[in-house]
Amino acid sequence: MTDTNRTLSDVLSRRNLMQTVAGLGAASVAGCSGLTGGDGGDGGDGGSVDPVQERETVEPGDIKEGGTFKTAIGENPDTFDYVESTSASATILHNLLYEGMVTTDAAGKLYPWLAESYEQVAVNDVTAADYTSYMSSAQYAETDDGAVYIDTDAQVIIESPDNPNSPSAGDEAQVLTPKEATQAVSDGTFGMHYTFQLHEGIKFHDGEELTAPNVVASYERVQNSGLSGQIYDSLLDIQANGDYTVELYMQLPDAAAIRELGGLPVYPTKMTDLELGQMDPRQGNTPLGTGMFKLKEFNNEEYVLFEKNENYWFDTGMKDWFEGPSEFPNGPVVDEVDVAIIGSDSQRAAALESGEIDMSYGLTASTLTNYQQAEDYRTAPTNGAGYTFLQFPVRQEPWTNAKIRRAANKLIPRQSISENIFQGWEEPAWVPLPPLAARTGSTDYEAMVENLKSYNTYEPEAAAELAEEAAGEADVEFPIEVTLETNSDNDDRVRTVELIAESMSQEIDGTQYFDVSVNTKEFLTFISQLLSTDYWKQGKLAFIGLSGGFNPHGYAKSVHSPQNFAQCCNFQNIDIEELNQAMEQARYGPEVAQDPELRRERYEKVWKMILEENANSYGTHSTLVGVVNNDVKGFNTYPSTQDIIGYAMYNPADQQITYLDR
Amino acid sequence: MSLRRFIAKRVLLIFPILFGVSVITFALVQITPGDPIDVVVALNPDISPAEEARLRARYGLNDPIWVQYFEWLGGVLQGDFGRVISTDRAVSTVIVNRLPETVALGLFGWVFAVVIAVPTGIYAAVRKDELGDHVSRFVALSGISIPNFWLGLMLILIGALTLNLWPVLAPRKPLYAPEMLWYLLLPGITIGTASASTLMRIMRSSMAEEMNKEYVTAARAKGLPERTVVLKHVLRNSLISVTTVAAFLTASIVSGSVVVETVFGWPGLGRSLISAVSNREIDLILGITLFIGVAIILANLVADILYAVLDPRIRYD
Repeated sequence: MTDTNRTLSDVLSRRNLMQTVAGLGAASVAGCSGLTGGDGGDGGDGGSVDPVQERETVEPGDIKEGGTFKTAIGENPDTFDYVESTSASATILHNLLYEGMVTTDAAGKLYPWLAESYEQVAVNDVTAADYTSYMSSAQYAETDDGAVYIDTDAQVIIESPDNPNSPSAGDEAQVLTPKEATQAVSDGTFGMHYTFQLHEGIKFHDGEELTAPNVVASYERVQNSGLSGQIYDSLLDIQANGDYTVELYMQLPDAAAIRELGGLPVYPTKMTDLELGQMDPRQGNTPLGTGMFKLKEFNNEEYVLFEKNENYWFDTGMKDWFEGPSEFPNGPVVDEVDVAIIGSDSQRAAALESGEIDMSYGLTASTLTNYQQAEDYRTAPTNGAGYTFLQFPVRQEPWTNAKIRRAANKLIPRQSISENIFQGWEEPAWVPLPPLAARTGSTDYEAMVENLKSYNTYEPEAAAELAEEAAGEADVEFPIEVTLETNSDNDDRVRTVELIAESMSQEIDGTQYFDVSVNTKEFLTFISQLLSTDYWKQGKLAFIGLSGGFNPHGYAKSVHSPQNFAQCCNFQNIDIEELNQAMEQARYGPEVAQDPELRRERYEKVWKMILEENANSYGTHSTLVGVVNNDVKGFNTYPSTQDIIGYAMYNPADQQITYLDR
Repeated sequence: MSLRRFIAKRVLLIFPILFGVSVITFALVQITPGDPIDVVVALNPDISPAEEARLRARYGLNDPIWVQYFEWLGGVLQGDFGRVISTDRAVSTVIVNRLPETVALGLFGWVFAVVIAVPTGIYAAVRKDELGDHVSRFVALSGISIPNFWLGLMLILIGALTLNLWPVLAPRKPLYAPEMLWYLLLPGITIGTASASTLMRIMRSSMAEEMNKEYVTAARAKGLPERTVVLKHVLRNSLISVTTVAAFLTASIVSGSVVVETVFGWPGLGRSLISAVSNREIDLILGITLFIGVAIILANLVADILYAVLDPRIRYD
């Protein structure tokens, strides 16, 4: 058991959350001609196959009410103020308190939640250039370490395409801020328009009734917050139309927009009136939402105790999409959720064994296998949103040659890594898209895997051939000496990297093509170096884990987009123009916003292009596993950690409910 | 030099020492890659450069290092130890909240060490070179050699998982609750074992040395019972060095709390320090380090004073 499994798998956690709770959007109108979408919520662009591998179902008559479900998370919540939080662990807690206008099942299928229904009203073929006439001026400034940014207190929503490519401090920029965005919307300049009809009579924890102004205030609270970058890359404007109608406008025709935006938590006025960062008991404020649990007690760095919201608003009868039996409860049945804060995985596992907690997760493969074989516990595996990847120094010789990268890729023993290190808990990443996002990112996933798998199979002879070809095209000397780096605080990962290094360094027919040494670093040290603007010049291979979601875009963009250079997670300054365009065309534009099939086709081109270029080698796709003791009945694991408790406690879309039998 | 003057001199020395500790700690944190804003950026893939710059400016991280240091120092002199960036709390609040747990654990460990070491040391000295002495020596050497974290894990394994007598998780009782004595036992034993072993060896040596002295022979010749000779005469003189060493050991107990609190999830300063280091919370690292520095310096000061009080022949110069 490792002390901690802290990884970059958490990095996209916030985005991931938005994807997991966000609504259906344009894809719901698959096959429809345009603007009649908003099907009232039976979803559509989510997955069709339940990713929960061994789902335990519950008969409503067997359910026992009451008790305290006890579990643990690995980190103290940074804040209960959702928009200021960067912690995946904290989001697990937030999800018990807060809810959004839409939700999702484990397969990513989207459902209206606080909203009774939603509708795609308009899609316009606009680009950033169409907003220039509304923009205001601001100046560029420079940080001490040379990063140039637009210096304004207002939320920058869109930057003018005419702004300088390599600006200097003092240069002028044209930007669209919320004030101008409202004006643009009133003139009909926007990419997409959705209308959400809220349920009437929903109450927050403090008794205030949920209305459209609450939604607007909650979304506007994102401005200049820690979450702003993830929301304002798509959101243009939000307006209340009466008490129960919300109008949501996107910057561009964006096939992923509802999934990205629809699930943002909604708070009562008492909360939205607070300054950023203040929605936290440590600041003297009790966080409030509409969620199925209320915060009962919080002892910083020790535990968080939630109690069931006895006045929870939800009723299965009010949702057309609910397909379960009428006896299915209208909320969770456990009285309390007790979340201890335990830093080390080993201590969490020990607490599970001593009976002090009922569920643990994030355990190493060998620990999971032990639990799987033990009679007193149940492992609940689900196809996860996480993946590992090796990023090549694409701008350093000889790695500029795609054949060299593909040769190295051919020496990665994915099957062996999956079987021997992860003991089958993680699957080889034959394609860049995990099964979790198969429906949104491929037309026929199995066929796609069959067609593209050969890129990623372990074939030393093919590797040698590619390397020799590359040597014929450019000046390459073998063996190519290189250092493979990863974070040291994840035992499975370190073993994986050692195996890859050994495999790459093997002799093939008497020739050693690569000479790979391994360097491991403490998590934050490694991340800091990866995020620096000169890592790409060092010529090192970086191996790390990341997490996506139901939206296929994240699996391509995060690790390839030049916009993510020196951020998460384009560390090597990857900028492949053809791929950039392909990614954009798969997500943005009226065609893909209204035609999910076209979108899937375009993503398939993206995956093939990624494999051809091989700037990143995808390692394994994750399996997320919650381990419970035998007192816990009905527990199933959600594909992303952030909702591992909330989903298990109650999700009527999957008729998911957990109860305690003791 | 009088004792009073000696104490005054030592107290004055505390300040430059703490200054040195803070400079070294600050420098070490600075040369380690990463800061709290890097954590925010790493966990927020789409955070804008503007927001990053704003955050760095807000916490003064864009300032030159020496400016950051002296601003921190200026705050400390006014009682402001800075803020924990990730949770936006005052460092002083964190220290004050966590201190009682660490003190309780340290006290328990210290008492455990003394209670185990003194009688065992006496026994070993009285039974010098006999089986009991050999056994106690073996146990003491083991106690000194076993790393804290390993001992702690073994105690959890046996006490919590095998015997099911203790919880794995930290208790949720107020520190003054009587049950806390039970909860303190395993971490207390872990933190006190090495000190107990060291102290026992000192006790044994000291006792053995005293027992060879002429006054002991004289006492025995006078016909005093062996029990009286050992407990009344020899023990008293032996305790001088033991008491001094016990005070010095306080320092190792304080520093040992970092490991033990982490292993047992004990909510004290040591655990907060580990968390602060992994998140590069500079102010919190400095605050806790400084606090531990003060504790160690004071422990050494008390040891020196005790030594002088217990043995008036000692002069300071």
